Amino acid sequence: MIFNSVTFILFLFVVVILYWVLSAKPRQLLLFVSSLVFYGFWRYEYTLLMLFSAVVDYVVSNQIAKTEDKRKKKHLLIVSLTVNLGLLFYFKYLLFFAQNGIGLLNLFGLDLPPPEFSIILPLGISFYTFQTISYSVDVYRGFVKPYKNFILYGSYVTFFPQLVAGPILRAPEVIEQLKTRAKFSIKFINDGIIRILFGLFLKVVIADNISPIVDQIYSVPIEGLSAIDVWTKAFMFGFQIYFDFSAYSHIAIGAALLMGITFPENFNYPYLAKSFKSFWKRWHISLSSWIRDYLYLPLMGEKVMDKSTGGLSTEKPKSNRANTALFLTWAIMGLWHGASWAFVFWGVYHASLVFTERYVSKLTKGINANIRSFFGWGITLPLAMLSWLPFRDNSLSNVFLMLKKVILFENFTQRTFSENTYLIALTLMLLTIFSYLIHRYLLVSIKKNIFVYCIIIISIVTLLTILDLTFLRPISQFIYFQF
Amino acid sequence: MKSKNEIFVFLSILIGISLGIIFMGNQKATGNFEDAALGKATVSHYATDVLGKKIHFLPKRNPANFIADIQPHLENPSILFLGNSQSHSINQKKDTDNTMSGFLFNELIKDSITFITASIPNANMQEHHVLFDYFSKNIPNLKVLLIPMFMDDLRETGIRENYFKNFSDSSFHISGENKLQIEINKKLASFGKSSSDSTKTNSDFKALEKTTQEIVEYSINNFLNKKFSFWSNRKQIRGDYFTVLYRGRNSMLNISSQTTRKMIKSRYKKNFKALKLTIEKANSKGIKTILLIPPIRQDIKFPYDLNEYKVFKTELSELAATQNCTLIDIDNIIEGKFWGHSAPTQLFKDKDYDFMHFQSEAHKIMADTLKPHILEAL
Repeated sequence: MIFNSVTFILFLFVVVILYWVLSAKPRQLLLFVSSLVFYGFWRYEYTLLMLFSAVVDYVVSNQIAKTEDKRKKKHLLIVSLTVNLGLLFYFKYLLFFAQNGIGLLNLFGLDLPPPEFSIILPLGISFYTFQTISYSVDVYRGFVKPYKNFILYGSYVTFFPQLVAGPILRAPEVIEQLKTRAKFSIKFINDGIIRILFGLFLKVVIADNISPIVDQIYSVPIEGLSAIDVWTKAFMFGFQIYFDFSAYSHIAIGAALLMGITFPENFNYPYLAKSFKSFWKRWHISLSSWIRDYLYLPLMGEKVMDKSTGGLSTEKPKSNRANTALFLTWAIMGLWHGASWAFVFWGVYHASLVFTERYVSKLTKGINANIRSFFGWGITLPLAMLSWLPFRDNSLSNVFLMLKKVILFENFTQRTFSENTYLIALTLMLLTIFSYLIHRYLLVSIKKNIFVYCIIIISIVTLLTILDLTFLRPISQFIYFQF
Repeated sequence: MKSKNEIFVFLSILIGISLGIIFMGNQKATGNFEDAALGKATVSHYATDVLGKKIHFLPKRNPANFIADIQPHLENPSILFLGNSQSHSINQKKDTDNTMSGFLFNELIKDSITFITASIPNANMQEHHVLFDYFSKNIPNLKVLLIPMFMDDLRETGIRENYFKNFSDSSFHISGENKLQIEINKKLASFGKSSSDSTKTNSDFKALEKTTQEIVEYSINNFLNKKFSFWSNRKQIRGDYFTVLYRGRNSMLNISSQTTRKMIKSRYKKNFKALKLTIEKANSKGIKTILLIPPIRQDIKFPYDLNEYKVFKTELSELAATQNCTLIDIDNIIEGKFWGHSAPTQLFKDKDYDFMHFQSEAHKIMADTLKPHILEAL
């Protein structure tokens, strides 16, 4: 089921009412069953696959907890990783590796035909696989005691608000909230409704209406583009993916809030980050935290965390394996997004930026903080935006051609797109800054006067309701569904 | 925030949602975005023969059906006119009014000559290339191709799905191995894919294709369409919002229909390339091409950069000379009194100058001007 549909709104309404009415056991069953129904509305046959993945980790984690033998624990963990990553490999990467393998063999004189099979990528597999893996790993690490109640555990793995595109949840962050219902507070409902209305606005009003413009500018042959055109392409897709993905997170967080369940935030104005370290503490926070704790820090042999705080590491890397770990982690993170070399390039590009920043930041320590912040933002924003080129255009040769145009300032001022396209890109940037200022400063002072605050709420909710209802239609999926 | 305040916030949210729904329920849609641009006084008119069969093609129609309709006329020597909205719009239309296409068809059919028009709003030369390719394969006795060259149209981009979906449905592809022709065919093929997938579904439900949710969402939507008129009018309402947004932008930046629209070089070059390919294709089939610099209102400041317009005219005459085709410059034949007004381009204004569409009298002047050139080309 997708969020930008009437079906979802009705479904959520029914589930939330039942959630607050039912007692503990039927309530947990409700969450589990409704999550399966939610997933089944996409393709019901794939719920079995998701359940299989969940059952494996349920059994494995309980076995890990039972045994005292460290070697056996490790073997059990390997079973979990093999099953989960095996499924992910089959559905997401088999074709990619087959194509590349055959291409490689053909270099040695073989004349093998390209593989001709297609595999449907199960919706959300990258997300729920990470969640089940983290559960088994956390049990192995002793962060979590395994739950005997399969329904409760199953609700954690399949919990519908975040099932398809995150935030990726850790068991310690959410499972107790699923077990024991929070005391009802009207604040949950208020915050939940506002987050959902705002998320729908970002998706159906902004992202879905930018989408045709982005499609159009990415269909123009690259040869004739100027440097300013390439920048515009990067910024436009950067905005589309941000509004689209953060919309999903807003709705997910809002839907959970309606049931009194709090998720960690997944975005925090990433395009206003003043450094790449900060960018990754603001963009897809749950993924960067996950990667940090289950891949990057273990690769360096450093202490791991159990919360989604974002960013790769808050500490200076002590290990001499830090740079290798950094690049390896980012390459894998790129590959997690999609089976293509363009995504690997995206990862390595970000690793290079983080790597460079670590050294440059030492040299700029003496500079005034405001100046540093300003230039930091001025460098981080465009370089982060450029990284979206391989995300949208999966051809590496196209990406290199576009980057060359930017680096060489080719025909810098020549315009290929209509004036409106550049104007929209500029407007979206200004709106992002403007909304941050409102959120950061104005809203805080308005909240102090309840009368004024209520008037503002009425106006905003009226406007969002009108726009959301007018534009609500399942015309496109969320971009992150393909990952 | 205190729990008492949270109740106030909750009530505010309820009031906001209710107001939003009440407002939605009382909204009246005024029309679609494309028609809104023409203005109230200008209407589309597609000329017909005496039997009422359209001899003017809009690519949203199935091209095969169009050819079947005009089949009785196709034994005659034929002329194809590829235009934009100027050729299918009449300002202040009266019942008996006709377009240039209608006048010329009625005049020439007396001499057993068939005049066929195909036009698209904001047409570009790549789209004209597709139209010419299709009609040159389906009109057996095509003798003359007439192309009005609007400088404004050279700012437009490639083939648009909403106009050319019907071409890809019939697996049609254009002939030629030029890079641009390959690109056009790729584009047409991509429409074929999406259209075959979406034949069963409304494009509003694209994200639900082949999912279990599709049936449920359709049922709920049908129910809402039946019960609430605002729900079924949402497409028009969205068009109205975009119109407001467009006019708001123009008001803020003081853009009007007279504001100079600069040439976009890369698009200009691409469209010129498509035009050249069209003429070459016509030449190879023994079809004579007449290029036309069409009328534009000249009694007030018009929206072109004069230097760019001069360059445009020069390049057209050079192309005509090298490709051995005729160039007719009639950009000043229509007096100011025959031009209409467009829909307002800014907020709080009720109309604006229209540089593209005129009254039926002007269509007649244009038809009379073109007729001798056509007869000469035959």
